[in-house]
Amino acid sequence: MITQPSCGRYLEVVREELRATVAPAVTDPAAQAALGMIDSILAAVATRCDHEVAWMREEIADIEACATAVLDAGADPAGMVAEALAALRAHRSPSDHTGDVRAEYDLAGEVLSRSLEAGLARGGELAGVVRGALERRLAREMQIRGEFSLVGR
Amino acid sequence: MIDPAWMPERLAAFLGPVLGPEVRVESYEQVLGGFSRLTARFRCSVDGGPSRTLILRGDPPPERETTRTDRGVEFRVMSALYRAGTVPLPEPLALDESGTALGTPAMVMEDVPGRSLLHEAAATDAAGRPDLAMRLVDLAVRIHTVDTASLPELDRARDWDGYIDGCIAAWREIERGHPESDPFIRYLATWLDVNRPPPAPLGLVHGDFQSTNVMVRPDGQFVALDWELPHIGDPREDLGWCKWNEAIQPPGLMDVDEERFCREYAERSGLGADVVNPRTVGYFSVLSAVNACRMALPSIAAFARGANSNLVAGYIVGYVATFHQQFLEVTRGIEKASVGTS
Repeated sequence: MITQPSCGRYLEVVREELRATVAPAVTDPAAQAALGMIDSILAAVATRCDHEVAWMREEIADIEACATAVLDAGADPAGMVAEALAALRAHRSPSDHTGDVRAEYDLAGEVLSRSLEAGLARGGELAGVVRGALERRLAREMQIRGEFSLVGR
Repeated sequence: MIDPAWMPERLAAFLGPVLGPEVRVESYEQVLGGFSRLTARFRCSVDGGPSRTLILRGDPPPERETTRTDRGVEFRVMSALYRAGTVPLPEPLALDESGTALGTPAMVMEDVPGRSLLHEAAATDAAGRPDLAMRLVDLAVRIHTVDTASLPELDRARDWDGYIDGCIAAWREIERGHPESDPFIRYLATWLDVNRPPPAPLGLVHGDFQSTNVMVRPDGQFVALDWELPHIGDPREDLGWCKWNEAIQPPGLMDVDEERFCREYAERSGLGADVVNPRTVGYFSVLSAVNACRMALPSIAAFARGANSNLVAGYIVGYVATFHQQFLEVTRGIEKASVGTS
């Protein structure tokens, strides 16, 4: 297969063409708003497409470490975090296809949710540990989202 | 619904029984603005009299829907408020609740001349914005002090704690119903539960109170638009939601001097500074996002599985990321402020 140009590069050029050639020729406000939304979506896709699987795998590992900290601190008396962690480990992605990794990432999301509930209830240092995992997830979301303001207003 | 080829004729027939037998629609154009409803502006005359400008607001087709709200509730709440006369809003004129006349559930209302408060604020220099902010306080107080006995359409919670319980449960339900786990929502629900502010009396909440939904008439009067999410709740939801929107749609008015904004609101509403202050408004800025998330996440899910091809549904994923950002920033900020004052 041909891997160059990369998907990110393609999208970069498409965005530029829309901005420089198409947008100036568009006067209808609804079409202008649609172009603004398309550009925002393409920017996010361009950021995701070349890294998405690696980023999900990195975050899954981060979440597992966070959940382990909750378990080590004895902050999971009802076993909710342990249960979600076991489900995650029992259903690892069978491939590197995005859909498979996404399914594993979704299970990791549940582990993080339960770790947050347990860690915030415990408070102190553990609350900071679990919130740290959420903040790292947010940093990635901000990287993907980029600048954002509502178009068409 | 919005097709200009046949809508003028349908509108004329639909409005005849309401406005007069000889309704003539002279012009018709789509209006760009809100993301949820289809809107058109048209001019019409009745019995050969002077023409007037009206607004048609209706539901998009299901495959392009980003949220589901009820035009009948919107029309009846607006009608009750219009009759009461204390809240400036467009006069609601006609309702096609079933959609049989206009092709989709829709309502017709008076067009409000002027420009949105967002545009007014952008065109006003820093010295003039405090005055706009105080007039926004006035509009908010007018809405929140409405006698809710005139609004039987709207559900009532048993008490404030029960209401907040319901909001938090709604957050959890939204997350459960979404095909992808969202730890930000689970974090927020947990945080909202353990950081409740002092209660306030429940009253009418606009539900989408923000500067794009306020028109400023040429005479300076503020008019509240877009009544698709009214409910009986905590009035600070509207203040919080307004604050949240200012963060993504500058320039803001609350943030000109938030302490003063809250102080004025507390005084005019009679709620007190312990109930209305930047920290409690911050709490409601994230709690009140529940309605927006309830609308956004299902449409994103439908977009993801191919059941909705509305570009807006794909675009608002960035909006959800902004919600996540706000959840963390606001909760951290309130915790820091609480440590500072305790």
